[in-house]
Amino acid sequence: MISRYFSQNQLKGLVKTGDVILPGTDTSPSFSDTGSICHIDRMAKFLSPDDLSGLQLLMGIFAFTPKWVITLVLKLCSQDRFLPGFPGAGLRMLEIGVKGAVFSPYYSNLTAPDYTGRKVHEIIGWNPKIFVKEAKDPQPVPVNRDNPSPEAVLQIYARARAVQPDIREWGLKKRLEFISSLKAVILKNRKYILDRVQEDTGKSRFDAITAEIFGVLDFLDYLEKNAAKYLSDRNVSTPFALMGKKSRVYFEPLGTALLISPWNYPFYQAIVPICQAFITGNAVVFKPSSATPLKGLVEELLDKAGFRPGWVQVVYGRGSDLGNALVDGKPDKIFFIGSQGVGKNIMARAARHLIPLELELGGKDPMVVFADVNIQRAAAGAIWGAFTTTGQSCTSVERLFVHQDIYETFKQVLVAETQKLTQATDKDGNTDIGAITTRTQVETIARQVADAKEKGATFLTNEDWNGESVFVPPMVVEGVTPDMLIHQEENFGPILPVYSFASEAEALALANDPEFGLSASVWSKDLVKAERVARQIYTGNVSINNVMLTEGNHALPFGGVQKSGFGRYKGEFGFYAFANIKAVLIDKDSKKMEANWFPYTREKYRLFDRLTAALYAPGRLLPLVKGAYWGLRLESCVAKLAKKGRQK
Amino acid sequence: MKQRDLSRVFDYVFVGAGISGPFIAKDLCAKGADCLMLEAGRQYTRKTYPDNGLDGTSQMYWAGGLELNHDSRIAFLRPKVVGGGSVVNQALVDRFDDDALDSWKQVSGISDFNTDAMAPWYEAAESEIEIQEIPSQFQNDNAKIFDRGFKKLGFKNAPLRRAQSNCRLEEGNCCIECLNGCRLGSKQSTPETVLKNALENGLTLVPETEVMQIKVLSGGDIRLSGLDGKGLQVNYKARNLVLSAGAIGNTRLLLNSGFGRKNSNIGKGFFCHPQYMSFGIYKEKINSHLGAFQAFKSDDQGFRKEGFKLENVYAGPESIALLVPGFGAAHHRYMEKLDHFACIEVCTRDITPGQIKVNRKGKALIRKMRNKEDLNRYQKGQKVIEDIFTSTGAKEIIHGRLGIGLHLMGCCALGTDPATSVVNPEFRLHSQANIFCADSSVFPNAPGINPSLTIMALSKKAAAQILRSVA
Repeated sequence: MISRYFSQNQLKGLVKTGDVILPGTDTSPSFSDTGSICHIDRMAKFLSPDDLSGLQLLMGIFAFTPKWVITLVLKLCSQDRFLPGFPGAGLRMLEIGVKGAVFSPYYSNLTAPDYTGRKVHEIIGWNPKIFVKEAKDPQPVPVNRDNPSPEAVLQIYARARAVQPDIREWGLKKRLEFISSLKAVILKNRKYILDRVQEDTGKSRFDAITAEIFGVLDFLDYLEKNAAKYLSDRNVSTPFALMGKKSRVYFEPLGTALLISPWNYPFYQAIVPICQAFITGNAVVFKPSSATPLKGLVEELLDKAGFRPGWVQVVYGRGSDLGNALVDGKPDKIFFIGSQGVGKNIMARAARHLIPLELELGGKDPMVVFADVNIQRAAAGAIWGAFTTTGQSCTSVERLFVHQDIYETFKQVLVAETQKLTQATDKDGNTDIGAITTRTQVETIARQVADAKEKGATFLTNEDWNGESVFVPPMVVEGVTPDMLIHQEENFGPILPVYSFASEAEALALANDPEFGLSASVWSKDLVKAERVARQIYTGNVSINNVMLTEGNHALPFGGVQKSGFGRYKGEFGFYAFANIKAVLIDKDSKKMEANWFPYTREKYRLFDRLTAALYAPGRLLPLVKGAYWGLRLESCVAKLAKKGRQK
Repeated sequence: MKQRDLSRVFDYVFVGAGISGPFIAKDLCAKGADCLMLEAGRQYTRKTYPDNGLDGTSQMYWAGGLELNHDSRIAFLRPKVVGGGSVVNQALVDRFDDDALDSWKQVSGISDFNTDAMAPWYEAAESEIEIQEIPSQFQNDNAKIFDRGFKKLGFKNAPLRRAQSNCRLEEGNCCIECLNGCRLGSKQSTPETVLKNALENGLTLVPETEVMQIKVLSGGDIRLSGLDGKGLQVNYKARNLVLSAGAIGNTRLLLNSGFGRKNSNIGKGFFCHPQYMSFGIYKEKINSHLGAFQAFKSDDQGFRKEGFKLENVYAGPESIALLVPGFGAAHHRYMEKLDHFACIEVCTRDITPGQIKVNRKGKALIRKMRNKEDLNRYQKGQKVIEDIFTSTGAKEIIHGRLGIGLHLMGCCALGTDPATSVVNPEFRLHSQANIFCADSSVFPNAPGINPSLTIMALSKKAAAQILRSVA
């Protein structure tokens, strides 16, 4: 339960007080049993500000007060014959206020939606009837979000725009309560979520829990701890020339965000962008991949967490059918994670309406291994980086460059360890990799594998894959040449081409892909060298002596360069992806005129020129002193002009 | 909303769309006056009235239904909704008797306060609404206990006159459902009657706009500034102002606008007919909430002399829970027997004037004392209620702990003498001739009779005088 008017503590105090006043009997439920507290905002909204703040304060105290003390206080309140005057009035007001807050929802028969007990009105025999002849106003037809028509898409956006001011009004602090609540709901329902994710993706249980549950919870935790820091109003410096004024930055919502996510991490890529957009105060229209819709799951969890209807709308359907309509609905921001081709289409369409967007597209990520590494660890990293989630990550290792001095040994370990991997869509977390999620992707992989075989690549493992099973086995490939598809295209499957290199310069030349630039990893005992190489790789994210780990820290930004996309989300910079970063300069009302306003005169020009020359001359103290001098001269000139006007 | 013409100057602006405002506006609009009505509360229709106690109380009363006097012994239910009291009351419409009008005449010095001179205005008011009595076959068990008790004890009662048109009681409709606005459209509230007519004749109604201040401009026009539903400031201008926001609303507005300096009587003489509900608990089910629970009123001259009357009322469980003393399991036990409750209320004619002031934030502070005689009246009434309940077989009697103020009257008293009153016999402020007022705030004292019909009659009279002065 999240209230606009009460903190979690105050609610605790209210429920506790409610249970003192209405403890329940063998026939009646207690106040907390009914969940009436859910409706407290309907009342609090209309209280006078004084009454409300009094109630908030009192409940905040009662949250930490034992029940017997609350009982005593309430008993004292009712001794009104002995309590005349001001203290008596205060106590009676307290009693009436508290009882009103508790009785109103309880005896108005309002309960939590999941309350299954006997209703209070039934217990007290309250059953008045009224037979209204006139038809009620027709209920609005619910918006269809399942393969919606272009008209329905417009309705979806209308809904989002209608509720967005409400999201904004709740304020950052209260929105964070929804994030905390969602975190608790996801934690509690994690088994169910994992089942649903596996059902749609076929990935292994362990892959699912690390990325989709742990990752999501960690992100929400990061939001809880950092959103206030980055999204609160900020004071920024004001230069000498604007002395006396204040400069501030507000972080405001953009409006409605359209989020489109892929099928590789359907839960993570739903919750993370949704919450990133929501926390800034945006309404969200979210379209999951039609391959892994997790139908109804996100709505169900958000609803359980207390998100209000319309705040986040999930739209189902194929991008090819819906994409144009969704963009044409003119969201205020588009955030797309997916393939290059679709990214281009969205950007072209968005350009028609000048909608800002961020694209997180694919990669062809290199892993560079120098000769001084621990081979066992680096090989294990390469295997995980290439094959986790059966290779279906934008940041999978798709090209492995190993220094020639350790190439043969490294290769042997790589092959031996790859052969030990187990594969299934398991339920107990005892399997390494799962299936490829979509049939189309299986076909793409099969095409690349056939092409590589035909052009002479050597398959060091699982050469015998039939090209059809969704359980595409992990394949380590040697002898890949630039003319092969597997060298050029994103593979998005468990295929790992291995190359050797002779020098740092050669490694860099190989690692810097002409097209992509999403992430990379550099492995060496020599951290100076590793960082040197990391700086030289043209990419968005680099892990040193680890793989795909920048994503493991939600304080780091995420995003690519070149055709891997642009924009950053997550971390401090991610907060700005969905914010209208508003600049505000605050001056006081006064008689004072500004030097740069009209009228322009020769004398004013002369003084302004002097001020400029003085203020920006080299040095620290002297320019200030001189600047102040000319500034004062200029000011008095401006004041004179204001009084007398331009002299002929 | 349509773009507002900022330079528009209305002929009349009304603050408050309760009973008085719409009654006056109807007559003015019919003659072609350009009228604007501002109301702090929301506008509902038959189809949108709240259907539960929590929403009803929170949404339709000031401060969410939680307005108390200075010593927190009286709670005021002050309507904040288009239609005001006429939407949320029990629609009792009684004329004042000689006793009430005589005392008004004495206090105000206005000789027109007598039954004969008032009769045409009462008739005019009654002609705007339908008035019915509840037929005896639809009296519920609560009403029957009231009737039986009265007969046994030898007191006189009378069927209630209510402003209603077609409650279809034969179908099983329950009056209690209409306390948050009548969804049947039977209750003759102003939105169903005169307000509707005024709107048809061009009245501009702006709900959810709270007027915070009025200012008389140098040319005599009046500028009102207030806050709209979103909390943004809005301004309006008019040649005349009609105050129709009730005793507390009018007083608060006048005091916040500095009128207290011109006339120190503003805010003095606040009355509210404090009402106290008592419950008799019977062995058998009474089901007071079903059907027409309030079919009778006391009509006993003895009671009238003693300064109280008894009403056969009822309320929603969330309100009754507040009146039943105590808390915890014992309180539950009472509420679990709610369908065995009968209810009678004593409504006292209060004689100690209260006073309304505003604090620095502009909030109304209501000082309302009860002297010995006030308490005596209430205790005498309670004694009769006890007798009625006992004589009809109640097993237990509970007295509600809290007084309730529903009839909020006075603070801008009518009178001929500016030294002792606020509003003159022409319903104009003594201190400002183009500000009119004819609602319950002009009552010079507590009449001891439900005020609705008299508010309507005074408003009719005020409208006629305004029109005559224009002509």
